[in-house]
Amino acid sequence: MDRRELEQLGSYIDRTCEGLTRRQLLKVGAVSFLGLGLTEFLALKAGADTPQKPKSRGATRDVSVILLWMAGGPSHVDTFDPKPDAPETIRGPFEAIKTVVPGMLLSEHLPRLAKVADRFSILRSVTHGDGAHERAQHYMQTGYLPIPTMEFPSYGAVLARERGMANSLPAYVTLLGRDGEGYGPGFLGGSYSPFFAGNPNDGDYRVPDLPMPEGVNRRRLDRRRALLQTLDTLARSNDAVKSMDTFFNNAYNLVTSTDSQKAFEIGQEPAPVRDLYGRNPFGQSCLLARRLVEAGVRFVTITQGGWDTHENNFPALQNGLLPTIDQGMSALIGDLAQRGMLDTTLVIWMGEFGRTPEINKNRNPGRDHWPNAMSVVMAGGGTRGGMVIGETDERAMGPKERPIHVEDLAATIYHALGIDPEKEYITPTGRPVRLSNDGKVIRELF
Amino acid sequence: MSQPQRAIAGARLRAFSLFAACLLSVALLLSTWTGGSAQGQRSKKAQAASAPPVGGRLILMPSASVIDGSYGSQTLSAVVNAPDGSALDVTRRATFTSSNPAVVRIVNGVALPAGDGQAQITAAYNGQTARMRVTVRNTRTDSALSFENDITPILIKNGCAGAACHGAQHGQAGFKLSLFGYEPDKDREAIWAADGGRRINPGDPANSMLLLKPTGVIPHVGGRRFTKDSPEYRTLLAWIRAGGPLHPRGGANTAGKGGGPQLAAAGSPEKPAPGVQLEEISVWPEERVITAPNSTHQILVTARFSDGSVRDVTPMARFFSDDEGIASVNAQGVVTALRHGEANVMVRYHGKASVARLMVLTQPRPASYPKVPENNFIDRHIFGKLKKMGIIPAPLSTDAEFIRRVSLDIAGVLPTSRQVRDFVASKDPDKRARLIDELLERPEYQDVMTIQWSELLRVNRLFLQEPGVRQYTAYIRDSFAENRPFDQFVRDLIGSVSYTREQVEKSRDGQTRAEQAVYRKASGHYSGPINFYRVTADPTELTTSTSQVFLGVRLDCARCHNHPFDRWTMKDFYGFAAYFAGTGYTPGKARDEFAIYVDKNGQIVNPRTNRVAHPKPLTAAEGTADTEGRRHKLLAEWITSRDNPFFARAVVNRFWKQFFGRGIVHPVDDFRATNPPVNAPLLDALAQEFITSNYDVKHLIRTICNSRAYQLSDKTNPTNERDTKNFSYFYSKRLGPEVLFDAIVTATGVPESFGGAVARRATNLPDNNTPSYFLDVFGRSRRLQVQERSEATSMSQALHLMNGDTIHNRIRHPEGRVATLLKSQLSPKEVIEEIFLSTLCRLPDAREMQLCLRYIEQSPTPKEGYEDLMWAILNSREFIFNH
Repeated sequence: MDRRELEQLGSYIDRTCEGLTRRQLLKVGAVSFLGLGLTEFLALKAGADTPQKPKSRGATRDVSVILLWMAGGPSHVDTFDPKPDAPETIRGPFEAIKTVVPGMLLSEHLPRLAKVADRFSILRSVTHGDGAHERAQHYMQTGYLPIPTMEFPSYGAVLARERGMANSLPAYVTLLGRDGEGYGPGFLGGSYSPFFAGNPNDGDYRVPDLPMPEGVNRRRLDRRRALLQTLDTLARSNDAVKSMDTFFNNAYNLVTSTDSQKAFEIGQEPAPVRDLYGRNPFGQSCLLARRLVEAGVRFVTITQGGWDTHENNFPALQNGLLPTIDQGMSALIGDLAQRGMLDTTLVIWMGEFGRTPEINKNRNPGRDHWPNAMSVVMAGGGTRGGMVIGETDERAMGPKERPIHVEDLAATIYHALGIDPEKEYITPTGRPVRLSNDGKVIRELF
Repeated sequence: MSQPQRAIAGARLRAFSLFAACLLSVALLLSTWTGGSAQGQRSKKAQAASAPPVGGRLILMPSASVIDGSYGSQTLSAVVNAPDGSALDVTRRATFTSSNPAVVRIVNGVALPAGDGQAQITAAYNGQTARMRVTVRNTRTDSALSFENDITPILIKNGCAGAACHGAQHGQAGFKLSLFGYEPDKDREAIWAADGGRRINPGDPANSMLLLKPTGVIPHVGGRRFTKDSPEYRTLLAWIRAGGPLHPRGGANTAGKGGGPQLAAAGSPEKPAPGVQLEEISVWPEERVITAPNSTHQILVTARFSDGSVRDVTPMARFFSDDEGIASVNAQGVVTALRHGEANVMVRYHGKASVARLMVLTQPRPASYPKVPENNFIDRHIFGKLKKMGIIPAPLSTDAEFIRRVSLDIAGVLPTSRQVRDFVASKDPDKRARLIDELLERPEYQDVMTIQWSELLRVNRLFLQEPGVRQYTAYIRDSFAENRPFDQFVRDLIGSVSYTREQVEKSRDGQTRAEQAVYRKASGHYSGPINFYRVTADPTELTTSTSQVFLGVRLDCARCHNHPFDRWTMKDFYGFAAYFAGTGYTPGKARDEFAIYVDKNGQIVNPRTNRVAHPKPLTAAEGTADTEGRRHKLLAEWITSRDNPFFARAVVNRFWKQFFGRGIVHPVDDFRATNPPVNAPLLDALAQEFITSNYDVKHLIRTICNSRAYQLSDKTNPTNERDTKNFSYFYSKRLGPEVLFDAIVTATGVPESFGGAVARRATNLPDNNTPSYFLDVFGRSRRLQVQERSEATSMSQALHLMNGDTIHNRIRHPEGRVATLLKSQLSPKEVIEEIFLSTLCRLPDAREMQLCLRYIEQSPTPKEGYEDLMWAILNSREFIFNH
């Protein structure tokens, strides 16, 4: 017994040097390689009617997502739903400007987006009832209100599970955002957590810990890994232990694939392109997101914080947030369109809620949380551009017509991705949960 | 109700109605119905699967019932109680007979009224009979019928009042109801009178839009919700006929005496009668042990009203199983037992909630059950339950496993190789207990506790500035160092000082230290515990955080509406918040420094009633005004009162989770009637022990760690491998970010400077603000929210362990453990042993030793080989997890 194992290890080590080990090691326990114990594996299998094979790109509805996540909750009135005829206490100091789409107005500080307005559509009557950041974040990124006993999976995690990894790139990547509230895999388990890839605007941007350290090469890493796998015998009795396995294997695959790593090399983009997106964290993240999607990443979330403007709303928006998103988002949409990628890339701009139309009385006035009305913008991914769907009342307080619920957004996103919103997952405890909680697809978009 | 559940409910409802329609005419004549003649697929299977119990006794529930009104009903349940404590529901197989079909008839296991009077129902099954008495009254007058008690539940159960339908903010299709039916008077108005009364046809009730739409006779965007044969239809029709009363019209206790129907003139305003309020619901069975695979079980839901009346509300209750894989439940409250395990069925009715706890024991019992030694009362409760469930616990952990586990759990440290060797070699029979005592006296124990509670209390520079963080942290650490009784700790935080604004400001402007004494106690820069209010002074935020941290109760829902899964109302929420009303800040002497005062005139208004809320314990019905500004002290006294059913339980449950990786109530801050503890007697006993010991935290930890349950190994066997909540083996848990970091430091022998911070250990950092990629990526708490730290794993963590500098620089450090061992005179075998002991706290077995020796031999240099070994172990699950 000992002898045989020794021989096996020896042969692993030897073959590793020839670069053959990986496949061999993969064959050792395919189930555990997926990071799933048998119970969970069966539970998920029971819920999934399609095997989770990565589909080849170019299949009709194989759409990736770039989510521009406006953390803190952006004011709808000051961005995509200006109210030039409302009293000044509501409309605020910003003027509304015309766009290339007749009748569609935007805040005056979004002039570049105004020029590509025919490529995106604005949902102006999105509404929900939860004014607490974390709860609303969870709601907007999963389609479900949080409940105490179970966490629902975010759209990114679901897409990662449905489509799997392409090459050895992680399926679900986050840029800038660190905290991940509401972005997580929920009951799908740690294996579908997003991969944090840092801030591509950093001077010497590198994905944290991706390069092998000094003194370690592929050969040595493979030897180490073979040793680790032979020694590591802890029972895989819970999800945390199992998902560490998955992540270790994914990390190994990424580290050893120079092709995949090229996707992260933003320095390969010509300077004018980098300038076009804006030399700031958001702009460079938009550019990197495009590279990642091109290379096969399924879902990229870019977090732009700073929208929780209870104070100082107008200078903060005018001097920072609006020019930043105007430049980055318009460049992204234009670039995707030019490369013929817009049809297969759904770009979503949203935050957790809108902000009070009535400007507050703070010394440096701001706007407070307002989930009753908010704007969501969608471009590409098979959606039609140049439309305004839904309308808020003249004071921007709530939907005047065609209220769009968060559940409808979820159904629409899944529909655009070619995933049946009615699809049911079975949680590890055996509870059936549909991807969309009774939402209705926004048909006008398609 | 989520869409899938609603769809299922809808489907079942339809099936039920069709079936009921077929039966109705027959049933009218026979008034006797035999189950088994027409049943769903599932219950047929059940019949085939469950053998008739031997030697059991048949009972019929309820034992007596009053059916009030023509629309009333009583769901029946016939059950055989077996001698082994299990129960088999035979409702679908028993034969029911009514003694007087002119009074009551039985259809599909439900007793329906035929006319006023009394009757007896007999259930017969397998040669046994059981009886119950039924009184039927008011079938001619329907005088107890009211909108709030009878119609609102229909609107809730059928989703009409849900956020996706007419309960939406702006209603749906021009018809708006209050969300979840919280405003019955407005809803009644919307149905009866709004839009010119077009929803009701008083002259021809059955032709009212209220009935035509949901039955699909005329188009309804929401689809067909129920049929003409449903209890919904019967009740709505009776209500329209009765003139749409909001409240019962009285005479609920007098049986109707012939004569024509006493109908109120349609649309005429009634004299407002005092409403009859729903007081509580009860569920039967509260607990059931089920041994028959695939058997079905009817849950009965009974409502009690403020006038003392009691009635069956099963048809309008909503049911959710917390584990559909173990026991599923349908819209009629029929549970199907699917596989071995435990499930709780949450029952909700009209703003009240309760739970039925089901234990499904369908696995074959182990042929022989070992005698499991018990160290203390914890083991009695845990092993007692495991035995009942036929689960054999894991064996005792080895000494080496135990010393690593308990050292990491109590003090966040890896034992040294010397300590491991000595502990394993020791022949002292009490060595485990002694080790626990030693660990509790180490300063590192205080570090572990300080991190845990600093996170829950949100000790954060953003809120407190550096001096506040220092004071608060020191206070928390001292509390655990002195083993301050935990109730005292909480009283200090919540109610230590309450001065008026004038007192604080006068003291602040005083000249001498003595004059400034009050101010210093009220300023977070000088006093530790007062920082509790410096984190936030907002009454509603303090309410949700305080109740969550110290009572394990989530009140957030009740801020805007009554809690949907629990008994908490907005009155409870604002009564709690009233303890914090008037808490204010006044500037201190330094920049960003503030002192806390209490304004006795400070008030908070319940937005629902628009009335000022008075401070009210959660368990009290009414609050009392605080005119003296003592509200913080009053709250502290109530929270830590021995009569408070939440405090001790919530606190012991938190400590329990720290050691067992999972709460007895789980999640630990979600105590709810509908989220019962997995082992209630255990939780009660621990809480009692905690109170009796005068809230002695070290005693509690000692009790937990000395239990055999805590000392079980992590090995599973076929009987316990599916257990995830009864602690039948040790649930391994990933080391927290700080402890994992320190473990790497200890194992490699290379300390960290933390950019020059005072601390050498991550568990002893002054706050969570010291930059560290490692701590961030492994989920260090940001201390901005009251929540448990993230235990999630990620690819970034894996990459960092694999390639990051934390491990890489340490394994090849010239003064690190690998370098030191290489310089020593030890043989390769001894070096490998040392590496194993200083990381995994055990010796390698023979197989591992051979593997490692061979690996070192084949490595280009011994240094590289040992570095690789160290790398492999630090990357292993066995190192990263506590097991």
